[in-house]
Amino acid sequence: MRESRLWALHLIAAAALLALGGLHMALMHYPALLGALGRPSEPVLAFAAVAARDRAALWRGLYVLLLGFALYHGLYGTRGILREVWPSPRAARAIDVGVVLVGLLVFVYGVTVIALAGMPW
Amino acid sequence: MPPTDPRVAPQTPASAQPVAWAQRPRRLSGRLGVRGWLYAGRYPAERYLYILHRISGLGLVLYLPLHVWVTARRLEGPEVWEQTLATLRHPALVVGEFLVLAAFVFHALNGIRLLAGHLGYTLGRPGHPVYPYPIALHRQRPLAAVLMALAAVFVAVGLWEVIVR
Amino acid sequence: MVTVRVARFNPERDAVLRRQVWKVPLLPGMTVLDALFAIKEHQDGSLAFRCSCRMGVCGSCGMLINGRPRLACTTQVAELGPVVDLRALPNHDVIKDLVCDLGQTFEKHRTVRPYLIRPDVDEQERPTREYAQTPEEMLAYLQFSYCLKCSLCLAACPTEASTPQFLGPQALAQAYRYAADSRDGGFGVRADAVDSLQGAFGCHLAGACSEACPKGVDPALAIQLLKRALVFGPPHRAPAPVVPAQPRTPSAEAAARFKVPPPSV
Repeated sequence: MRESRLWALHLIAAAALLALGGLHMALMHYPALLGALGRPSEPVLAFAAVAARDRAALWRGLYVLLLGFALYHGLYGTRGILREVWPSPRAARAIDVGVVLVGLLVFVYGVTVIALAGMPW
Repeated sequence: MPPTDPRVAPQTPASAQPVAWAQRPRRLSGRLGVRGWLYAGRYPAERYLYILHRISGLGLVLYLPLHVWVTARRLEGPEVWEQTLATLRHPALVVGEFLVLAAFVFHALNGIRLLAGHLGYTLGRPGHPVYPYPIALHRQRPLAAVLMALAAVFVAVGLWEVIVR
Repeated sequence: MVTVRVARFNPERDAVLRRQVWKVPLLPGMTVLDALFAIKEHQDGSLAFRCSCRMGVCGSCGMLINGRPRLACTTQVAELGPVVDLRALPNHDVIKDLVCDLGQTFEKHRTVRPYLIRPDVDEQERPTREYAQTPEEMLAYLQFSYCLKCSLCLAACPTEASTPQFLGPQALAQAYRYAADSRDGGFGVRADAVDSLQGAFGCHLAGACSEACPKGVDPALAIQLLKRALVFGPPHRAPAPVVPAQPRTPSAEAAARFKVPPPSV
């Protein structure tokens, strides 16, 4: 695949993360600010609230998207940095394979967690 | 001045090089290496933002799997979840969480500037190189200043959130 | 008097740099290159530096002057303060004292095919007509064509610091200079050379190259426009055709395009 395609996807993921990650950070990490702005600040991290989000299909979909985009964006950036440090073709192949494996591993783990958390028990 | 002298890299052994090169006089490699990323010296603001963007990005990517693992504790039921949240209230971890928040805010807002710049927007168009020479990145400075001011505000509010909690 | 501090390297004796300091009487209008000549003529004939035109056109005398890559011949000593600190350009092999090897820069420049690529090779070699260009079309690349190949941008670039294989700001800017030229049809060929992590996508917009450039070429701008072209498609689809050198009866379209006055009878 041409590098420009991978790179364009890196930028698309960045734009998506601005929206999804921004929403995530606002809801999870700025509760007092949202409270001050008039939104009733229920405890977002209480188990009941967490479980309620886990059961909603919309939330689970957003979680999967957020995880996927974040992993792609982050690991593409990491790959670029690692390949600048070790630029030889052999190292480049090892880095590419390693990054894809790490990405798949974390993605599968994350999606499993989201799926299990959404089960009705 | 660069921090320490970079040009003291050991010579490649002559035996490892083709004959024609082995007979050349010795040379010094002046390549700065990874230290060259971190040394911004008397270069302009964008050069420092580049360093911060790399560091914050690496920090976030290392944090991501950890975050997925920690939040997976909710699978083990309400007690374990509350216990995990209690562990996360340790001062060192609170500071760590604040650093992640700051890294995210900076990386995201600086990323808006980079997103536009990388695609050639906000940089203006090529023109006549008439002295004093125009530099495209300087046309982006107002945007950079606004975004960094926003980042400072969000990080300050984040600090307030941490203290309030 | 001004103090000139030089990081010296003698390939026959030294394994590392050694610092040597001279004092030079400051004259009005003295450039760093003038100061180096003053040292070489009156104090130490063994000091090595490279120069040719002495007027910022040849790009031979690039060196690290007080922490920034600059041309010695266009840098006034008076603006630098009491101490002038000199060393060879970073990210390059040092041959002797302030002389670095620019071979890698020229090598990288070659890989992006810095010339017009056209399908009509015969016309290019033995022209019968001209490749006309509007001032606007020229402005799309003019700025980038002022490059001296002095390698100051490679000395400033952080990616270049860690990665010798990175093509560097100079070559990438030249790749765009030809891609943006309305007479050129070689975008596809050139894209093969620059569409990689060690090409255009090794640039992370740190902007140091543009600050270092002594000619206002602004490699950072050229590289971002190159990335845009790689992602969204080339600036133009086909090279501009040849046109008659002196159109006697310009077509209506050509007349409108080049504002040729109608032939007076």
